[in-house]
Amino acid sequence: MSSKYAIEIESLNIKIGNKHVIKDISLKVPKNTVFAIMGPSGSGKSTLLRSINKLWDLYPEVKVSGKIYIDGIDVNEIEAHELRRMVGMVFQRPNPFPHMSIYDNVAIGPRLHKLYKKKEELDKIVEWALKKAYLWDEVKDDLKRKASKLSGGQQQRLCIARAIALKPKVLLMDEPTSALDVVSTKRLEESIVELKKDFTIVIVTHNPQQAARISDYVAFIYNGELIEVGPTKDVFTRPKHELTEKYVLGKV
Amino acid sequence: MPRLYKLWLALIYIIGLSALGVLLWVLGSILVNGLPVVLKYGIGLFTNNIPPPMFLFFGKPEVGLAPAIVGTLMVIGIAFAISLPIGFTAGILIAEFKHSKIAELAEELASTLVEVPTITAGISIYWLLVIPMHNPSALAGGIALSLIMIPYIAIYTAETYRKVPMVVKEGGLALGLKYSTVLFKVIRGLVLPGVISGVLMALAKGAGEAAPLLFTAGWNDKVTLNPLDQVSTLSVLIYKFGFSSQELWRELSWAASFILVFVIILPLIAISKIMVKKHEF
Amino acid sequence: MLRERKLRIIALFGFAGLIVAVLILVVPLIINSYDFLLKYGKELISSMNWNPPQNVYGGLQFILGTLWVTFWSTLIAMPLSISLALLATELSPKRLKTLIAGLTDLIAAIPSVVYGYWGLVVFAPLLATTVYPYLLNLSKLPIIGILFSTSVISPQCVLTAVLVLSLMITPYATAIIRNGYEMVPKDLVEAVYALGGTKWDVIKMNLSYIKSTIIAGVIIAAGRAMGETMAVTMLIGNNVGPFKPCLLCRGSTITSVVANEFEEALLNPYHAKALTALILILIIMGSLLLAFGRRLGKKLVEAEIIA
Repeated sequence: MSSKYAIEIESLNIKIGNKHVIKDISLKVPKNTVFAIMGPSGSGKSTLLRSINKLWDLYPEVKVSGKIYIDGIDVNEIEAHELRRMVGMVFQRPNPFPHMSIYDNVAIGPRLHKLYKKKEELDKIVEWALKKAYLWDEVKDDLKRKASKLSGGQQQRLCIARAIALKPKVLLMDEPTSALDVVSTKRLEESIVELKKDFTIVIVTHNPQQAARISDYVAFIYNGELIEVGPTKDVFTRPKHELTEKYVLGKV
Repeated sequence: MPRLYKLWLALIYIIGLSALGVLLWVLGSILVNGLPVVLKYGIGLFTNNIPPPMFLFFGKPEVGLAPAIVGTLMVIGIAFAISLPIGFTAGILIAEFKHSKIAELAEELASTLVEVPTITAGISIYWLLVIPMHNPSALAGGIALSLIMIPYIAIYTAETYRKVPMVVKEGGLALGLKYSTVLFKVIRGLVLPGVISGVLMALAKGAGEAAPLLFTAGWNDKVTLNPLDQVSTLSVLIYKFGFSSQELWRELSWAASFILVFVIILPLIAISKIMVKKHEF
Repeated sequence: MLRERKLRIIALFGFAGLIVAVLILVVPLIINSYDFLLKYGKELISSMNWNPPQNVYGGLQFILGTLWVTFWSTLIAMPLSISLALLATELSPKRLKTLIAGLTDLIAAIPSVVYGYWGLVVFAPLLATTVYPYLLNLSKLPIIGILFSTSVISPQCVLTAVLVLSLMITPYATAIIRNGYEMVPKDLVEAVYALGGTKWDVIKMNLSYIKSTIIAGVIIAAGRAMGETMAVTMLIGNNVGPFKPCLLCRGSTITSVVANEFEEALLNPYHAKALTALILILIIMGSLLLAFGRRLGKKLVEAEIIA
């Protein structure tokens, strides 16, 4: 069963210990769009993102309730690893596998999921992913280099390549530029716009300008509540909520 | 005030350096007394049987430590085979099941086991195995030693896995891999040096132990490869021959000390340290 | 929580292994000393008359001997380990620091039985001819004289065992103190310097800051001393007579009497069981000590293991 939405979230609540971090949020993310979740830090947006691929499974103090569908599939009906196979993720800080080469970082997903038969096929996947992540030109001559030797921005693009090498339905990005400088951020944003052609992207950002630059839809979260959601243009030009207006003008 | 300070400082230096001096004295004694014996008997030391007590009456005996060397390797090998799977899996439990009561209990048990006097293992295994089997054996000795090595391997493994940042593990999980795949395949290259280093430390610890083997491994003048036979080990030989008034047996105690410390334990520790250096990332 | 089945099975295997290890260590001791303790238990911990052939099992001297040896070796190890910890953190140039740290680890790496043999052949005879005759003269002093009063100087005596033992346990305490020392907040140190303090003031401040760590480290080292077997057995002289608060006398501890007598004890079931009961008592003594030490210095287990 296929849905016209890549992600549907219905009355999601998340509690961490006694703290109610996400309060009854419902969202729909159309396919092949960049969907930004913005809000000040501490508003719960990363918490929300990590519930989409059930990363909270590992933390018993985090209680998630509500429904989440990926391409029409109820995430609670499938195993966490099957879900994560469909939902790639890029983290706040670049986290390549530091002991592996650039090539192996990208190849490890396809390799362990046995997605290819011949070495040449794997080479092709790696090349495709690195190109999509706008990293290929910088590393193509030295794919054997250790990932830890790359710059922060390159490492983050490597993490994107690693995630998309599995051709996921959805790509989650948790403030992927927060640890990067201006130039690296620009390159990364370019690659995100390019990636939209193949994937649905949900990106969390605390920077409204970034959301305005790259997203098609935007949700504004404040204090664990969904304040406003809609096409980026509308939200930024005609915010319905006073708080949203303040936030996009940089007053919150 | 500054004078008192200098006095204390001098005292600290003297005390600290004299402790290290004694260490070098011990190592030096082993080297000075042990190496000449090894050179004197040469390769025969590693191939000949241990001379019997009455050798004086039977002309020139063959002099060797082969049964003790082979026995040490056998006992250590058996202990290794038992303690690696248990210690490693217990380490995974301690490091990766952070919030569970079982993991907490396991950590408590492992750190308590490390502190249990090693002779305890010898006495317990004596009652448990040697009595019913009517005979000490390499197997019983190995099992006694494994009780000492298990907590070491568990704690080193847990430390190594804990050192891997959670974000790296999550990076693997986000690729749709099972947690076990992340632990045993994705970050294998990252943790392997640390785990190996811990295992080598445990082996070094086990190789030198005599107390758990005194009543469990027995004694054998001849080389045997049967794990149900009695075996001598270097550590037990040092103890038994150390009290002897016979010059030859004292020589053998020195030679055994030399082999134990300089050929087995120090190289194991050196490799272990190099491994840990590599492990830093 | 990890729900993956494979991993749960692995973890459960490790847990079962640990439990079995603990059971193997403790249960045979209890089973094989139970009837002895019922019959002779009171005598074992209250009398100092040890004569197994006559089935007389007063073992208090071994318990006291263990405490006595532990006390003295810990007392000597304390300045050794604090000095080494300071040398390895504060007082030496960087290259020397790693060297000192490495050498300290080496002390821990040498087997007990090798220390014992070295002590027996090299150290004890030397002490007996050079140091002990002077110490014997101290026996005329009031009060402390009793520590040194013996009729004959024996190379193997309590003091010889204590000295070697104190060296052997020093690395454990050093590692813990070193660890604690490095965890003193940097801004505290800077504050002392900012107030015009010298390096000496910093050391004093740091040491008082980690007081409980030092005590914990020392207690853990004491625990090791308590259970140490081979070196003690080879050096203490193995006199099973009544306990005397003496350093130059030959003495015995729980571990030394067990290592010495267990083999021959097998001819007499009660003798072997008496020694087994003593080991049980040793474990209980050690657990009490460690429980005390743990309460003082939680989270120190790592440093203690890596030593």
